[in-house]
Amino acid sequence: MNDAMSLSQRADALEQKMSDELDYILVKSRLYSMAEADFGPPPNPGAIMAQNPRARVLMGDDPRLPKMPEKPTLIDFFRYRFGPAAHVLQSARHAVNAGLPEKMVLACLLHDISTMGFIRGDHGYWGAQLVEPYVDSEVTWAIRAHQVLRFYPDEAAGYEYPASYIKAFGADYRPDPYIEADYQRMKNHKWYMSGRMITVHDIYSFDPNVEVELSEFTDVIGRNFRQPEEGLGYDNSPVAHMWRAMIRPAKYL
Amino acid sequence: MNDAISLSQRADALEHKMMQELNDAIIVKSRLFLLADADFAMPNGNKLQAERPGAKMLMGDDPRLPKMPEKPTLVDFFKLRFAPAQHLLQSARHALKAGVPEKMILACLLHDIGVLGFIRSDHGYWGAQMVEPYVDPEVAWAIRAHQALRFYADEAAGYPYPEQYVKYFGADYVPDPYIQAEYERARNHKWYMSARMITVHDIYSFDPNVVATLDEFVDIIGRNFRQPAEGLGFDDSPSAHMWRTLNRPTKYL
Repeated sequence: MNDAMSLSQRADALEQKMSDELDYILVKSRLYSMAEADFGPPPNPGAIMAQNPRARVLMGDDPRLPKMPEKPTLIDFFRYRFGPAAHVLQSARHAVNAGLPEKMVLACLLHDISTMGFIRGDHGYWGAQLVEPYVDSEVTWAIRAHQVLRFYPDEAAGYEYPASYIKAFGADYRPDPYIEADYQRMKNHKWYMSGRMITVHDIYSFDPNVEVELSEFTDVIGRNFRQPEEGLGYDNSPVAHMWRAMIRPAKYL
Repeated sequence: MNDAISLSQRADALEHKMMQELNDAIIVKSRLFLLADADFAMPNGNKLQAERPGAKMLMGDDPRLPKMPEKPTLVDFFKLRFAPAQHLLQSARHALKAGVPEKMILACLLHDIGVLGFIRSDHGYWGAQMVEPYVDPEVAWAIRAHQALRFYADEAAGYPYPEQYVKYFGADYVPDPYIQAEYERARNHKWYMSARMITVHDIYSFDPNVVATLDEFVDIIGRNFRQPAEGLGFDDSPSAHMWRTLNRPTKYL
């Protein structure tokens, strides 16, 4: 770029370049619009294309997002799609220090992937569904159960009702009846204590001075997460499309 | 309300009431929704609460959205979350007129609920996963497979490649390898023609003068969709949390 250009000329040029490159039409999914309470009709690609004949609806990679490898691994999702992972990394290290079995360390590492990368509401159910084809069934069960058990103390096991929940949800918050019903089912389950251990190591106050790297858990992942060789999203598993939605969240169809 | 209040005063009052309701609730978007906006911000509940003392993270109904009944039915989702659903209704009526079996009329009625109400990307897979516990396996299979078959013409069955796709995706668009692989599997499947029928009745040009109503299909739904007594979302099925997310897309956790 010519050094003689002023800063504002450069900014203009950059903007022009961006709008030339953005020859794709984005149509938001209804679920995303509903989260904005927007019930309006989606943009009409035909009308947009009448203005810009080169434009096409987005069917491939979203150029605004970090590019994913062709055969993405769990670690690639941590790197390119999940938000900051300090919470699950600290949680997994906490579990290692407590001497938990390796598969439960993995459960602690994965318990909040839906909050970090996917859908927040009922994140334990979503997270369990995402990993089910790739982990031990006890790990899946425990991730699902932590959604429920987190609302119920078990002082003998070392889990008090979190003070942060009183603050976030109010002192009068009561879990929904479906959560209560799941709790009744789960507390008598043979894997109860595995679900409970996720809540015990789900530490709510972070030590900002402790830095935990994902590389500490590469071997745990390697031994306990059955990475599909076609890449997550491309293995025709029952949940492959869910991983693909994270790869291309704004794909048109 | 006092009759003397003008329409605009009423609107103001309603808006004020809504704001008050929202003021007590902090709404945070899920990572997936933010990623679709190329927004990598990670909302911090503590910080948001510090900015709005007294407000709580939203754990219940979103006051901005139409309220769902306690035990929602498929028809409730059509009315309160999917509407307008003309495309599905016209498609189902088209199938009805062609004399396809009743369960396939249901498949046509449901084939695009992923687009109308949930996640557009790979919507056939999403739609099939949501309805799987409640419909004949052939219906779920056909909804899943229509995602792939729609990109492949079958002139003998009455399905040319849609002109609209040439326009929207470009003449040089080639489906992703996972879609190609799905197509290869599907075309030799015993239920191939059921999925193909969804694409045949997936009419791309709507007659604006034809208004099909859901009432026409209430009996077909009743006979072919196993509505859970607890309500969709509250029956502990493998897809219950997906319906709950549609019910409450902004639930915090």
